Amino acid sequence: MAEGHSPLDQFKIERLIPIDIGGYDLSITNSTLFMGLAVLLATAFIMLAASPRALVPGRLQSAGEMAYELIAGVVKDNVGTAGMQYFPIIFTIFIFILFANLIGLVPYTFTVTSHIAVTFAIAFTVFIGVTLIGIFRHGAKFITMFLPSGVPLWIMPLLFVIELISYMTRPISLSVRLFANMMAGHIMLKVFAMFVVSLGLLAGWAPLAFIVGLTGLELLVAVLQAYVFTILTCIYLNDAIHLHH
Amino acid sequence: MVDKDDRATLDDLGKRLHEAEATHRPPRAPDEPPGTAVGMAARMGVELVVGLVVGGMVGWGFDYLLGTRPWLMLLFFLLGIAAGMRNVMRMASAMNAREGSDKDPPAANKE
Repeated sequence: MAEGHSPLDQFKIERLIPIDIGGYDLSITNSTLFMGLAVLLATAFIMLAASPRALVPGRLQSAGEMAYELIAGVVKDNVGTAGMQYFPIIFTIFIFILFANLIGLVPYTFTVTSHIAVTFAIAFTVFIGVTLIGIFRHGAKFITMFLPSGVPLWIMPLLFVIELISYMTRPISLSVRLFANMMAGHIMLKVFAMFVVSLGLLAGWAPLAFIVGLTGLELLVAVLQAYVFTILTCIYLNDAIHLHH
Repeated sequence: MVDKDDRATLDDLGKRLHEAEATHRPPRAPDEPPGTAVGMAARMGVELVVGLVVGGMVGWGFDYLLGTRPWLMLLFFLLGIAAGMRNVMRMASAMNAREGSDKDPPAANKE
């Protein structure tokens, strides 16, 4: 096997346009490029889907409406109508992750969401935002979220700390879930693709067939993980708005 | 352009669509993302490890600030394990509740 063909090569960040401002490396990398592409495509998708405004929607408009109604349903089911004022940001998160995941499935592209730096940034933004919403809505009463009911007083401090730590695990488990799923899938695809080459014309067809199936599975994972991220965001938002744990 | 007659028919169609949707929509558990059993198992594993890591990091941070290395880290490590356990138990009980809602209620404690 030639060097430079490690299954991890696809995750390498490359500087396309080096930019250095005040000692900070702000280069345009392949990650930046594909993030921008995801934003661009997502925006184009929604704009094009919304522009016909037909009473009987065409295919693209239908797809746009489906995405909208799916997320609107998730927000209403999990947070209630009080959550609808946060719908724009939740929909943005969903559509960005969805497009980043789907773009990553195209050969020769870069999967933005396979880097924990990216997923953690999104998850941490959600975490900070949700915590601030909880504090601004409930003030000091927000603390009661960490105090389980029906517990003897002397054990309360211990449980408070445990609940606090459990609350702080949220952004990490949220980001690890998305990143691990995307990375594992892409490594698996690459490993089996290497089998195709090394087994050659005779036996290479078996892993090739497997890759076809795996690509279908990865398509499911890409959509499902974007959806799961959105649902968990809604659940966290619900906890902050309605203060039950 | 939509004239009055069409509008009435469309409203009627909309109403019927809503009714059909309401009867056919599967009841969903509001509190838990979808997933297979394997996915659930993976999530529980992640929760356990993450609790431990976060606990350890918090303890390390306090140690760094207060100069009590390594005692707080050890303490928060244990608390982190407890937090991870708590997350897993919460997830498992949510799973149980969901299973129970569409199947027979789970048998009461057998132990």
